[in-house]
Amino acid sequence: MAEPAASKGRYYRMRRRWGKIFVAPAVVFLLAFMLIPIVSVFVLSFTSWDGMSTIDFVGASNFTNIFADKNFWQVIKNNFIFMFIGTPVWTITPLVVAALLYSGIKGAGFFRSTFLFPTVLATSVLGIVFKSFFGLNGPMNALFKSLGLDFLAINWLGSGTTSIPLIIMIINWAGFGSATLIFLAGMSSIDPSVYESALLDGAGWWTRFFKITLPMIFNVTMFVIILNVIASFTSLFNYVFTMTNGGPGYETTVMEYLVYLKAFRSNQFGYACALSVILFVVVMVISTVLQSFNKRRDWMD
Amino acid sequence: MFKAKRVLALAAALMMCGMTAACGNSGTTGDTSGGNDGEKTKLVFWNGSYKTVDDTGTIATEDLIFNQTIKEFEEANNCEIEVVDQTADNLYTLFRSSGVAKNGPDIAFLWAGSFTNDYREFIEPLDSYFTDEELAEFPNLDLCRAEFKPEGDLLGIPTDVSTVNLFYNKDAYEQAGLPRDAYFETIDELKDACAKLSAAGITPFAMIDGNGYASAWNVGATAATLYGPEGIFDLLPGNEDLTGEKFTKAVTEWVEFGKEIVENGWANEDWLTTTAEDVFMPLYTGEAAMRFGGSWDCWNLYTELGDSVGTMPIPSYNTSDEYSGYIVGQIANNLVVTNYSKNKELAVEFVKACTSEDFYLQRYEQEGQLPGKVGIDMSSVEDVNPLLADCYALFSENKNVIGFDSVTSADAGAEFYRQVPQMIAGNISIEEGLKLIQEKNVAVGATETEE
Amino acid sequence: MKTYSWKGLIAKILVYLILIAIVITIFYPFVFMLLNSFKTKSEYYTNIFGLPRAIQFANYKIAMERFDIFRLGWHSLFVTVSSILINTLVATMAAFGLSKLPFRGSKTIQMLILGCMMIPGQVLMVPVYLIMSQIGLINTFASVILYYVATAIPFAVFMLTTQCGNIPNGVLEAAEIDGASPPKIYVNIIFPLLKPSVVTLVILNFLTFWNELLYAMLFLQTESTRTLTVEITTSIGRYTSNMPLLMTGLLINCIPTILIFVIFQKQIAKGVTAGAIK
Repeated sequence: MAEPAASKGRYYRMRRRWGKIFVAPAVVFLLAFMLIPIVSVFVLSFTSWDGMSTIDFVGASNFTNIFADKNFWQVIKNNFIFMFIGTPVWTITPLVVAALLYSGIKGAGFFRSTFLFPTVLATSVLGIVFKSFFGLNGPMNALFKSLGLDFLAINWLGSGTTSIPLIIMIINWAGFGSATLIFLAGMSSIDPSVYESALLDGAGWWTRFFKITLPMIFNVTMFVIILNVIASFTSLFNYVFTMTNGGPGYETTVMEYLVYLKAFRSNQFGYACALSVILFVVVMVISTVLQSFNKRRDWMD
Repeated sequence: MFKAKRVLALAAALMMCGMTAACGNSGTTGDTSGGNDGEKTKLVFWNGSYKTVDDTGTIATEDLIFNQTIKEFEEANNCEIEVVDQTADNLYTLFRSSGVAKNGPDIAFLWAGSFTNDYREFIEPLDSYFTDEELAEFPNLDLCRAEFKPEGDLLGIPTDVSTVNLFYNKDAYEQAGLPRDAYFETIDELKDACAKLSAAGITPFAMIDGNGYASAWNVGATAATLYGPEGIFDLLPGNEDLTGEKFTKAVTEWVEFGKEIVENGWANEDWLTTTAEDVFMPLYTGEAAMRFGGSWDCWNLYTELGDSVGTMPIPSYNTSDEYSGYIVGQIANNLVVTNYSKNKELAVEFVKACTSEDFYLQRYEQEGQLPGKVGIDMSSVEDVNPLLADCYALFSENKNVIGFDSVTSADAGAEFYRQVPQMIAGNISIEEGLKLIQEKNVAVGATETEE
Repeated sequence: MKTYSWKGLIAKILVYLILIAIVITIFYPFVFMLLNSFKTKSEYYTNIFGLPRAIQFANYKIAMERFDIFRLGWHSLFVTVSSILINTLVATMAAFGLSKLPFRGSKTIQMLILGCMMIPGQVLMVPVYLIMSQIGLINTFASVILYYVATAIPFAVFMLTTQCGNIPNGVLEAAEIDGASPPKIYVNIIFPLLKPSVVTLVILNFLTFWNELLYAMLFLQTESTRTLTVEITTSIGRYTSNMPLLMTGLLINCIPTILIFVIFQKQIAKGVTAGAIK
């Protein structure tokens, strides 16, 4: 990159030098514990290593096996189901809650902080607790029955069609607090004067919200959407592990869990690495595509 | 002021970092014991099952047999034994990764069968440390040998054996007009009993098969009568095709029974998908009558139900089978010594201490686990849990066949657990499911080994 | 915005009802766990919902004895605090460097750092374990600390770089003219200005590190190094049919995080937002 003449001055040289020094520790950490392992995962994906004995290179056969495995396609489909259904839920719920809090009610602060409470519990703990909650003869079903909602008292974890929505709701429950705050912060950065002119024109609450607030928090919304999309590929493990074991069959197995199963239950480490590579690529592609939406909007502004 | 505080904080952080590295490395690691530098030799023991703390509050910690044995051994040999409790999930993950890094334990408590065999990379063969007489005290050790061959290296010493049984609530049986001391020879008799129980308003089974274990036990039973104790090794990876006639028959017999159970409502509604243990509560209250399980369940069942619980082997699915009358019984767990241990002899001595007849008897009494040696006189134990005595008697009849999932590859086993409940639910055909399972029944690592 | 119409009042009440309903769902599982921690195993199955018949602390006693709470809690605390301190230092330095001291390639490095945010943890398990073994750090606190710091850097740098970017250059230039070198600027200007974000990062990191299971389990296997979270989650696993005991243990493990939450509510709220607005 060509630098303007001014940046070749003494101050800039010194800054550049110090810049490297300041950034160095972070880079070292990431190199050692993230980048080098990632590279080894890439390399190992071309082997048939079982995690213990010799490492034999097998070319791309792991990948061909993966794509030929019926179960793999179900698993990746599950991830996409989580993404397509989860992302709207995980984005709209906090948006709505933020809107409610933003409407100027008393005690917004209290609600804001209490909604964050689930973060103190680890996701694996939540999985264990909710698993017993939603058992066929568990508390929630008993509650539903007592409220006369018998149709809701089903075997929640008994099939993919019910457990996936359930897990989505639980993640929503655990995470909407922080997303709400992100939205609120975005909303509070909107200059109030914008609303004044709208009020003068007689705009009601709905119009104000949809025509002014929403568009102005577009970037924030995109940010939340991207976080949620990434989460649907990288943050489901603890729940699947504790609640459903990926079952029944492979109906709730997601990529992360499949990697775990192949690596640590079936001793097929090379295969698991190949799965990880695929997962990584998918996530990178999707988030890059989503990021491009962000940039375009900035430019239009 | 500000500046000073910040600098101090940073300095403290760096100091801590230095301290951790220093502290961590000094002697208190889980590494295999170092040489004698004037300090005691240390053995690291990864414990998967021995009780080190009693959660029922009835036995004092020092009196637990494992703790006692440790103390005596430490004193007699001037060494230190560090026990690391591991749960099943972690144990194998860690055993593998620490084996690669060679910083794992000296002794580990592992499931017998493929779970030990798969890790033979890291295990010290024990044949040279035992005499033939010593080894004769144990049941058939093929399962503990490399690749289950009689000439394979001996990898582990049995800590306990197990049987797979059917347990029933005697009171519930009585209510339905069934004998309190029941023994069903055939599955048809069991089905009749189910009908009677149903008619009396009792759910015949309290089951969980979300993890595929109930299926595994039953197919273990059907496979046992079809293959017999030697034939079962045909199912080793690379040998018999699981989609072949024989194994398909074994699976089909159970799947059809499973379907009948679903059709007639003979078990809790969610049995095919749940893994929650609370489904067993009706068994304790008498609303449900039976469950499949094994000798490892005797302790809990007897605690909850006392003399109201009885057991019998899983009835024969097909009395015309060659090995009809054989049950699923095998060495359940074994102790292994790692081949990177720096104190192998001492480790083996400790293994011997933990596999003495007295140890087995005490463990039987305190933990309810069947001894790993045959021919022990159980009458010397007070308050014998009759269930356990029954199981041990069954095992001693010596008509034992290893559970098939200890023989097939871990991957195939895992696929089995996943697919068979689906077969019963009708989501996948038996052929298709078996095909998926067979695909995964491949040997782990390099099988054409030098051994 | 003072509308005293009926519609407005009803709307307000509706909003309150919804919010309160949400609060109930937030706290109910916790209350459930608390109530059940006082029940015995059989009472749990027969009386899942109701108040415990008698408040008995047996589960707590067993948990306390069994889990050596104070010693293991200290391990968890040590690991957590050390990781937080080092992460804060490294991330603030990097944020400063990336936003105010650009050099050739700093944009690429920034993207790389952000990219690391998308790597799922299980993927790296075995390679990282092998690396740690080679360096000889297994079963030392250093292993988890180093790993936690590495995993926390991407998000921290992301958040702090944004914040740092908001610091007006004028202040920095003035300091430079006064003869301050970048390190001095870092200590005297940058770090103090980043304090609010740092505080919230610290708190979020506390919650994450304290509850971390997978790597703590992998790296810290012995009694002398194990963390409380690992001990409770894995040991209790043996007695899974004893739900009340399990819930008691989980509750005890939550206490530090709950304390942090209660004390730092405001900061947590502030912190989560700081990265979002550009």
